Amino acid sequence: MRYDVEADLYEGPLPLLVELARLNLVDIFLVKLFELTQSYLQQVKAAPLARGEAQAGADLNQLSEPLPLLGNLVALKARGLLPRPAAPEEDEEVPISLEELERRLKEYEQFKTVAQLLAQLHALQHEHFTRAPGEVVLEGAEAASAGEPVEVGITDLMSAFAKVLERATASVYEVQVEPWTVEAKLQELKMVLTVKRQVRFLDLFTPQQDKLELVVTFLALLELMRQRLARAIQEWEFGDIFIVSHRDG
Amino acid sequence: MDDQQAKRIIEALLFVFGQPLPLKRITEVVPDLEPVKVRALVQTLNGEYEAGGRAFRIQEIAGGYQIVTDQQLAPWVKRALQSPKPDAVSAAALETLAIIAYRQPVTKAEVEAVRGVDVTASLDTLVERRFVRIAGRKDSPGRPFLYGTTAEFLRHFGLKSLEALPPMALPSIQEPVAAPAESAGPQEPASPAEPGASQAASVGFHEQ
Repeated sequence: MRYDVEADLYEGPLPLLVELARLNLVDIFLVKLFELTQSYLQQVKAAPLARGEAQAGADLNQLSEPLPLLGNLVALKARGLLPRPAAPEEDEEVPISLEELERRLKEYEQFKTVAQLLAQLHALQHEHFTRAPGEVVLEGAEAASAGEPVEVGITDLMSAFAKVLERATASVYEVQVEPWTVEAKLQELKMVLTVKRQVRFLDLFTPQQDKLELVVTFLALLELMRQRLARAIQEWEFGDIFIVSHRDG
Repeated sequence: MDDQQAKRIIEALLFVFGQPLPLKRITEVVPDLEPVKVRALVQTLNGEYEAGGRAFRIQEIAGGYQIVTDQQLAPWVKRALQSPKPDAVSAAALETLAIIAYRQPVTKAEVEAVRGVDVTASLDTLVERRFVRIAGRKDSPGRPFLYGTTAEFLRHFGLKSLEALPPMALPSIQEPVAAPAESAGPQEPASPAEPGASQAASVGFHEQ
């Protein structure tokens, strides 16, 4: 999408303005970025009304195109505002001759070319298949072919250790998160006792609960009684036990 | 031992091994075989495979020999192995790899100087895939790691050795910066006949 801007100094496509500013052909300090961003924002806000909703996705992509460019402008200006470091510190960075730049560029181009060649070699080689490697271990052969011993790197050590771990026989214990805690059950029981005045002891437990939960519930009940928040009563001998809230008792 | 028998032994050895079998190993197993003889016999075998329209051939790779399938059969083999695409190497990783391959041993900073970007991620990938390994430390401040390529790299790129890398156009890039511009001229194109030699010679000069 072509995005034109209108500034005091400049009128035309945004990318050109960014390029000019970068090359110092336009003084960025004379361009009011606020106005540029403001008008962009307005355009963005106005956009959904002007266009059909069906194409909303495509519009978003187009709409956001000027965003990095405007960002570049802001960055340029911000950088210009920064105080410049003292001259001697920049000694090594400044004098890059044109020849040096050209040389570096050429050098990089060459590596890019050979990288593409390598890609072709890689693809070609992967059209050839071999027996699954590792079935036969070639002991000592690598050392023999290399000539002199090579230093072992951290990655080699790591993969060697991975093999050690693979062979480890001691089983690993799994620590499980406790699904039930006495604290939580205590709260639960208090709630129950607030709502109902009393509960049948047996009703506190259901057969479907697992043993751990049953034990935790029981411990919570004991804790409740220890704190004298509840007591257990029995209406007659061998009768049902009821848990009664202490206040009511 | 007659040639026929020696040829059969070589074929048997290569048939069994799932990784490149070094020439040296073959001559260890069959002491009365000269390396030259082994090379010749491998060539004979390859000739026979081709003439007979066999599905495989012997490849010289990573300093050894290996039996590989013909590339024309790749689609079927792939289907049988149910292997997805050979995990391709990204363009960025390939650039990093190329610089390391031609400049090794080389530090991360030196690679970054050429590519002009941070290469941490691509370097990690390369080390993880075992194309590149730490080959030592440089004797300079901070003792940075030096990186070099591995046999795995040769294997995956179908190279006999580092000398078999495709030639770089200009060896003059190794020239120190301060050198006068004219000196770069005469030594320009590497002679394509012996690309490996010029590369091998320049490796190592790079370190100051």
